[in-house]
Amino acid sequence: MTLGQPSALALLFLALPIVLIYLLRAHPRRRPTTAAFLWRGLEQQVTARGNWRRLPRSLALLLQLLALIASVAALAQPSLGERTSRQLIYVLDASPSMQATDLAPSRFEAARSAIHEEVKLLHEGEHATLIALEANPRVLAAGPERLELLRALEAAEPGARPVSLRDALAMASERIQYPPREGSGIVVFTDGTLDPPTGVGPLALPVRFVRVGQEGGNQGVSSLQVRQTQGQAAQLSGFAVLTNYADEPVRVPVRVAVDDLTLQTQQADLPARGRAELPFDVPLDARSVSVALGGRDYLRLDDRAEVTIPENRRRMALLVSRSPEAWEHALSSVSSLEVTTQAPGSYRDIGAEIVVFDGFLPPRLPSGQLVVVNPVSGNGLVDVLGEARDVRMRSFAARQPLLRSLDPAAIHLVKASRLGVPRWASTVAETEAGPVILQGDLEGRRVVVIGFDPLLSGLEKLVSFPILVANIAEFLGSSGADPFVAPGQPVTLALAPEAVQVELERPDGTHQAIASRGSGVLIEATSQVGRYTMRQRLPHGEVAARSFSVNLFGEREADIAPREIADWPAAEPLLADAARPGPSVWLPFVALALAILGAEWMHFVRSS
Amino acid sequence: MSGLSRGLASLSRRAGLVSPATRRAERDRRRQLGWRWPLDNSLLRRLERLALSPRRPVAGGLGGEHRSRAQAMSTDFVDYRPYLPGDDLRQLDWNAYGRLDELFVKLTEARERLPLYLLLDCSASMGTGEPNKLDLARQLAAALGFVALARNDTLELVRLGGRGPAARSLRGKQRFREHLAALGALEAAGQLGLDVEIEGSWRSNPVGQALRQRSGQAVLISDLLQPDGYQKTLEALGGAGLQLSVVQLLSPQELEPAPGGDYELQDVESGEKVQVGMSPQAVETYQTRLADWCASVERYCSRRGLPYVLVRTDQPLEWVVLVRLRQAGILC
Repeated sequence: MTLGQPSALALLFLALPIVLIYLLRAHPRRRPTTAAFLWRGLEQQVTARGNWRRLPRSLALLLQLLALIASVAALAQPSLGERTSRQLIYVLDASPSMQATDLAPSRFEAARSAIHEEVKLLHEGEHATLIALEANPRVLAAGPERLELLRALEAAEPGARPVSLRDALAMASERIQYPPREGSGIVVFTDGTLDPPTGVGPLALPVRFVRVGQEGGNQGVSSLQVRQTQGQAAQLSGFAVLTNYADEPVRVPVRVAVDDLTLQTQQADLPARGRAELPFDVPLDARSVSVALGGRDYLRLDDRAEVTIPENRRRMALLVSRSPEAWEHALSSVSSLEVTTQAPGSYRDIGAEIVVFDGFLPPRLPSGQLVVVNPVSGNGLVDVLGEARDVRMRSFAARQPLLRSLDPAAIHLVKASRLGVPRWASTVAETEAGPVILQGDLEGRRVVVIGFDPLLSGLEKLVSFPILVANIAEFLGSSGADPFVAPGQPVTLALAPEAVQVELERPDGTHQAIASRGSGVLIEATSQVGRYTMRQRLPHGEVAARSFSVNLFGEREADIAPREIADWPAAEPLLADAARPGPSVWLPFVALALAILGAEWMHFVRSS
Repeated sequence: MSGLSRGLASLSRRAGLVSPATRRAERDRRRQLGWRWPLDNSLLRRLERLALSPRRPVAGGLGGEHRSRAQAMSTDFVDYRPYLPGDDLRQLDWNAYGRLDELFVKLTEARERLPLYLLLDCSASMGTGEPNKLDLARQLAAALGFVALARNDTLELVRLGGRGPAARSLRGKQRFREHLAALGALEAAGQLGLDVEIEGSWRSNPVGQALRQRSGQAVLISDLLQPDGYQKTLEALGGAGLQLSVVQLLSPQELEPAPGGDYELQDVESGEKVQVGMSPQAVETYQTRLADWCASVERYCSRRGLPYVLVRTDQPLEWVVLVRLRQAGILC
């Protein structure tokens, strides 16, 4: 129990005058008698004639003191709160850079050990919370039980996805128990390779950053692409970018492999904080290409990259448009596509693998991958909320496969539709008026929505248009897997209709059974870097395999140089002794005081 | 806080804020004690069968129901005597003449009226107690007065001290209301020296004449708590030739004072103040003294053949009248 007004306890001094009244000899009460002569000679039996007497054993005195105590207790505003104890919130950075080995065995392990030592020093009753700084921060454990905290700490693992310090601090702020007591705080164990937590103001607890990590030396494969070159002879070309994040130049051995067989090895000279490009040829029948760096650096996650090569076969594409010329030309330039054109009025489903609807959408969608261009209002697939004129793309995901090699900001749209984003889609690019390019998975098929007519904007005359079409074709025409998958990025793979058993093999070798329903499967657990292989067992015993690779591409995660982050003070000074308010319980004390007063009054009436 | 409680209690009483339960309890208690004013009819019917019991014949005038020393015409045969010239021939007993051949006169007993003097102590001390002593004294005086008036005796109410109307001689049951009115007008006040009062009654009170005549029955109703003693009073009354009976009234508070606390006791008559710590020991000493006092009164009355009865004011009236007074020989 805590007291809201402890100063009210000073009123207990009123017990002194109450007791004094009983200690003082009162003037004898006058009582009439009819035979004073019979009482003569009994004066000596009067108790001591002094002004003071011994404290009598009086029920009234006891009741009055109890009433005083109850009244003072009510005035002190008691509540069922409790004294808050020191609370510590530990945030463990689980970003990819924490797997750096400049601190043996890794920065993550060093951070784990540091937290372990701090938890061991917690006193009885002190409250601790452990938060994993992951792509989606989560609370691993909370409470005064140290064993529980240590168990959760041991079970924590680093990830390969970018993390958000802002989200972790926001989560930590929600876990603060008020009022915070002196000595409490949030401690972030990190190497500092984090985005600044914008939008997070001073917290109720001070934030201390414990730097983990010493060296920043890391080299990695920051990009790997395989493309089919245009021309009469179909060829595959590979292109890798090697980046040195260290402050010193370094020479690293590089191995290029095709289908896990070494294609070539060489030494690459990487300048300090610079990059080197590595082109190479890829056999036409290659299914996967990998580039691996040798040498010794502190982060192994980005030392190898792999991409799966889209199946080298021609796919049937259907174009339904009133003005098909530009689209025909762009689609035909994609060597893997065999384009058929129809007018909207004579549309019929021919079973094409890729279908482009330009300003038209049939009531029943075909089963192939879809490109919906300039959808009309009321199309039933995506909401058209209005139109915008003279807009440019302001916001776009640069790593989107659809926007690869494009400068969306340079694209000026004379007229574009404002699209509503359905639940099955996500925004690829948007103008100041709203989303303008969407992509998604609908009933096992991929769908790309382009909310503008390229012809109206003269886009067909720009090099951007065929690049965009090629990206779309590549995106839709691959084996269902995006060859460039970042950690945590969901992947949709097409399922063979006749598949009876489907299994996914992860980079760490573990297997997961997948329910074979529908025409596609969405794989969301792609946090591990490496190759994922989905094997489909067909009725006749055949096994069809589809693979994709998750690569750690990105300077934010690969540049592992530790950085200092300044500590944050608390928004307000912490109290040396704080209490957490609970429900007030002054009313029972008031009732008790009144009851005692009533009992005292009844005692007086009866005795008088 | 006790002052607050005391003030609230005082306010409650002044405002008449007595709870219904308290009123019912008081009413039941008074009913239990037989306080009914005026006396109810059932008690009156029973009192009609009672009579004052004089210990010797009295001279109160013929026409009553009490034995008289005088020989007079009546139906009560007492004796024979030889005829003397001049005797009333109607009193000759012819049967005796026939047998004895001599003339004899029948002697009969005269029936006289018995004067009853009710001596009511109306000093201030009689106005105390719960139940009030004067209230019980009025009830007893009313009951005794009714007995006397029912038997056609003369009733005299003598107020000793206090305030009230001057008493008149009453006779006959039809005068009972006047007797009740006189009793109701009595107020307890002042200090009383019974011997002085008796003297005063002797001289200034018209009924003092009766007292001088040394006849009649007197019932003294008093608490007999005089510091200078009760003996002078009783001697004065006894010396007047009255057939005195003594009814001493005491309240429960006088008999059993509540112990606890220091008090300044002030006599309601003399004003004498005594500071006493009401310890159980002090109360016990007082009670011993009071018992000795009452015992001495009883011994005094017993030696002089005076009927004496000590009555607590919380005893039922009917029981006091029909049992205690009869046991004491005041009524029969």
